[in-house]
Amino acid sequence: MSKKQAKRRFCLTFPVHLTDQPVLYHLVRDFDLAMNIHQARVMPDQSGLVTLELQGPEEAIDQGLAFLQEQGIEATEQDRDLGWDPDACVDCGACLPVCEAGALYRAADSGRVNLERSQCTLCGRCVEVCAYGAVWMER
Amino acid sequence: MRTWAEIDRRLYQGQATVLTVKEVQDLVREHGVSKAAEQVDVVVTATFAPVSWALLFFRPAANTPGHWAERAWLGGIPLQVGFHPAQMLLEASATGNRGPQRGGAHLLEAWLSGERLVLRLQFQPGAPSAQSAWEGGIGLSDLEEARLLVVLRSAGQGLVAVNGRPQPLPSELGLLLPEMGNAAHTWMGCWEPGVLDPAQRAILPGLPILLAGSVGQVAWRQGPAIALSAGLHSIRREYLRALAIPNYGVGLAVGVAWPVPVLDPQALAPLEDPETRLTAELVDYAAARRPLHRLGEVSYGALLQGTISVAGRPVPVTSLSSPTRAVRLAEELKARLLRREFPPLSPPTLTEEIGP
Repeated sequence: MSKKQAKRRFCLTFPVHLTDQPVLYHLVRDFDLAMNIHQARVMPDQSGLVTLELQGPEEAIDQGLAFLQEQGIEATEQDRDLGWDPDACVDCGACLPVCEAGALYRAADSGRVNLERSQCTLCGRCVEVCAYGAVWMER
Repeated sequence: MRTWAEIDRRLYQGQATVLTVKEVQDLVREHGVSKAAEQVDVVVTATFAPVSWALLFFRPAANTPGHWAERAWLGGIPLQVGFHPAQMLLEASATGNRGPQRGGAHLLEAWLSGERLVLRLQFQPGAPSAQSAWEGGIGLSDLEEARLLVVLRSAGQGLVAVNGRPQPLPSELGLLLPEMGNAAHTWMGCWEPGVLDPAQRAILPGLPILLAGSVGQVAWRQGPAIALSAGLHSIRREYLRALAIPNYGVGLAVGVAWPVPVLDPQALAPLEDPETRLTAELVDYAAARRPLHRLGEVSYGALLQGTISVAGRPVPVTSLSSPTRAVRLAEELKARLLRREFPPLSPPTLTEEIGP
């Protein structure tokens, strides 16, 4: 059995009926995975969204994912990164309303648009609306 | 009130008062329109937004076999070939076989970044040259002539569009999100030259301007349409940007700084409380009928706030214009005017100096 350690990032979508259940807890207890939650929006009576990083043996991560899928949780691997060129950005702000995570924001003093990577959920909507090519998806 | 000649004399003597739109706004707030107008010779404004047209007229160096070219491509994008030899025209919105997301505007950026681009010529069947085609790399320094002509729109009233249908709608204002997910525009309010000179007395053919950092001039003005030209070699990359809107097209955004002479005591009136006095028309671009379905008016102040109310719902405002770059260019023009590193403002077409 391979014990190769891995670190992978996922975006989990929780169906409404699971948002009041302790699910992620099982990843730690039953699969011995370490996790680093980047962002979580799980509210009662609404579908939830969690972005997290899982650490552990490759096989355990796969088993954990299979468990999540059995529960009805959709897991999308975030095996990409947001490319961002502040010099290409003209601060027009077209991306701001689509960035629900608030990772892209306008600095109050300078008026410049900045990216706070730790808040980014890699949803890619900013890439669709940026006409100046300042953001893009990197693999 | 001041004449063109007086303003130019004061600039030449280093006695002119030159202020940016923002500074004039503060002055008007403190002293009122008439008093402020007495103190200011030139208002410097600037815009940075996509233009309607951008055309580069150029001629490669003499060693390029431009004679008898029937068709030409630059970086894979088709050019127009002039009647006289080697006169080429690149349109910023032209796209080629490399996909709709790359166009002439990207080639302008590439040249300004120092890149060399492949020029491909296909000769007339009757051309005396041995080959039927020629291909070679050329950069900005290989161009003997290169002049950019842009046509932009600057109106006293802005235009803001929403999309009432359930699918996204790409437009010249950017991607319009479904179900009125955003309100898009490119209007710069009190920075618009069309706002500062509604009577078309100051921004006239011949007026020198700073087009993307290069000293150029107004070529013509017809209502809200203003044409400008400048040499490409002095244009700076930071003020010239290609933009691509998927499923709509490729465009060019340029920064322009405008010196607006204060010729009339009421010239500064739009700068008195522009947030409430200036408005933009709100339309639904998804409505197929023309003229467009008008939903109402929104104030410039509401656009600056970043959220407008449409049918009682808050809608976020998006814009493709860049106030940060515009302000930087305005400061540069102001400094140039004060250092007397800018041509006189009087249009050459004015004949007031011709006496009896």
